[in-house]
Amino acid sequence: MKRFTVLALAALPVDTWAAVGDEPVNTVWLVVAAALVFFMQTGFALLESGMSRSKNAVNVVMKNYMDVCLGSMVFWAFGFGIMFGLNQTGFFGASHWLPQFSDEWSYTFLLFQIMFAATATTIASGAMAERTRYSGYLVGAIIITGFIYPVFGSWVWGGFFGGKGWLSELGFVDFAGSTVVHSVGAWCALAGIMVVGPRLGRFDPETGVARLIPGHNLNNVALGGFILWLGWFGFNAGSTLQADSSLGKIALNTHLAACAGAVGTFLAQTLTRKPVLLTHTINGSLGGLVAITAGCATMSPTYAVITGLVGGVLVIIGSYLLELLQLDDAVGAIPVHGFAGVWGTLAAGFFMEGDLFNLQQLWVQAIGCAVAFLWAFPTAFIAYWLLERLIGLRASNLDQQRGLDYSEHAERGYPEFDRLPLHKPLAG
Amino acid sequence: MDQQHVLQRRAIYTVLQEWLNEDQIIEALLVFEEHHKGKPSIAIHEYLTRIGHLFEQKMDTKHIRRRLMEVLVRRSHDLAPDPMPLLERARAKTASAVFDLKPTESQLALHCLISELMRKASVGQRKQLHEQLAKQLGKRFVNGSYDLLAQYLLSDNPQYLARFDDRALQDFFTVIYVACCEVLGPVKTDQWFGTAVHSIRQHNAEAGEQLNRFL
Repeated sequence: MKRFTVLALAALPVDTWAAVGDEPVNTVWLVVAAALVFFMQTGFALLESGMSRSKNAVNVVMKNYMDVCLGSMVFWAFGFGIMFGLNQTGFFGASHWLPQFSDEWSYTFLLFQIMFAATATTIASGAMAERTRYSGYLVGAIIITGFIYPVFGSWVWGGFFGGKGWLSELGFVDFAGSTVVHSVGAWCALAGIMVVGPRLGRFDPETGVARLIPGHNLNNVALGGFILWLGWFGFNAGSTLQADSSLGKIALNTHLAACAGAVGTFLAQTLTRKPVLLTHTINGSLGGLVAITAGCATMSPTYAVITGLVGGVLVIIGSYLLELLQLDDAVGAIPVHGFAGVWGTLAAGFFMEGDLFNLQQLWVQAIGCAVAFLWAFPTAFIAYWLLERLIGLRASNLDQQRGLDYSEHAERGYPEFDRLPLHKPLAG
Repeated sequence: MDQQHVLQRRAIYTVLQEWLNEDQIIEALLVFEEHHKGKPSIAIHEYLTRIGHLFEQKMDTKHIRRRLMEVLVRRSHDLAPDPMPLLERARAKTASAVFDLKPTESQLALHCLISELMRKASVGQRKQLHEQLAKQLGKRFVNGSYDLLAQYLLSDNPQYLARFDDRALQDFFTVIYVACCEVLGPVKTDQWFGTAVHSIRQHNAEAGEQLNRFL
């Protein structure tokens, strides 16, 4: 029954929360977990910039950096109220704007949730890398953090200050956010790449075949992968919101799923006689991590391995599918966070310990996944489309030629090794 | 019909002066003469959209159209005089100027870069590049400009670049870059581009510096 205790924490009344917060160890654990989730941003920055060309590296890092800064501000000011405020309708919270709490514990909870929101936002930065204007992207990030993510979040995790989200009422289970955080971020990213279009020359204009655009620093990609993996222990185990005995199993499931994800990718690439790429392998382990996020507290390790393994395979299939559809996801964020996220959410219902293969639960999980897509994708698509029309989202050809490091930030990541001269103002 | 056409031309000349400089107005009027002559005033929006793309400006086409409609119903003496003589002079100048002007040092440096890039391409790739360039150039350059740049690419003669200012040549190089990305792929394009720039800078540092204004 412990798993249900864990799942039900988010729906406990405030006084019970205060009791949890009375234990200093819980506060310490949650702050450490929040710091680990924050550290994931480093992983994203290294992974995404490493997978981009050197002329766009600074731009990618800048987007990740500002995602945290702007995302945190926006979520603190509005997002938290929408997601966790008094939720009488089941569709959104409507209290706690610029929150002030009477207890210290709620501040800890707010800190942890801010880090989650920043994670959801940053997923789009990688997918849209190398051809998206900085200003347009940032406005998009604000919309995701301040509106798209918290509204869906309120349906699943809402009701911290009263009421309950409607998906939660249905029995939808998403322990740490395979759907709430990762899929929602991925569907926003999908909308973004559809609006912004592919990078110059990504697809052969005659055959439509995708051309490989290798990243400039695979060591950074690997380092980013490791850091994300480390941060995920805080992401999943921190979602217990208290330091209890379940942490070990959650962390173990997290670790095993990441390993299995990489193995799944390796197998998929080997069996299809494709070269075993480092980027795919790392994305495979991230796919495993995303997949286990929903069910890390409610699965046995054996099923965690299966969940991770399939997540890794799905990353490869998803990557080829996107290429087939001529959608340019620069870092493979959509297969990792979207496809593996959906699978993980379904697996959380199907492999629930003590209630295995429950088709009714699987159906509820499927509804939750579909609703996430139907909410996040069209909303983000409209937002990005409007941004493209109003302030411009796609960088001009000249800016892409020069690289966004220079055209957007007037600096280069690697000036010593750059063969191209720095642009000077036109004659004058 | 002719009277209507002259009235439209004068109205465009009157109104666009608020948004474009003299050279741009001439170019805009040449586009009007070549592609929109004889169309009813109600279709002017299509023309304005094209002009907006041509100068890469976010023109407030609604506002300009409203101004044009206002001007079109005015009495003719409120309008600027018919710019036809200006257009004829511009056409004559285009025809004769090619061999009168000499390319500058910076234009020669750009020519070196483009030649270097084109030489690296195989015959098949060059054919594809020309097809792509024809499409891309058509979107950015019109009238005589398009013809001159097409002749430049076919003849590899820097004389044809002499008529263009830095901004136009910057656009031209970007068009070449985009076409190379489409045909060769972005990775090879950046490699060739980087190698060519590096080589020019190695052999002639000043020319390398001159190139900066187009990149």
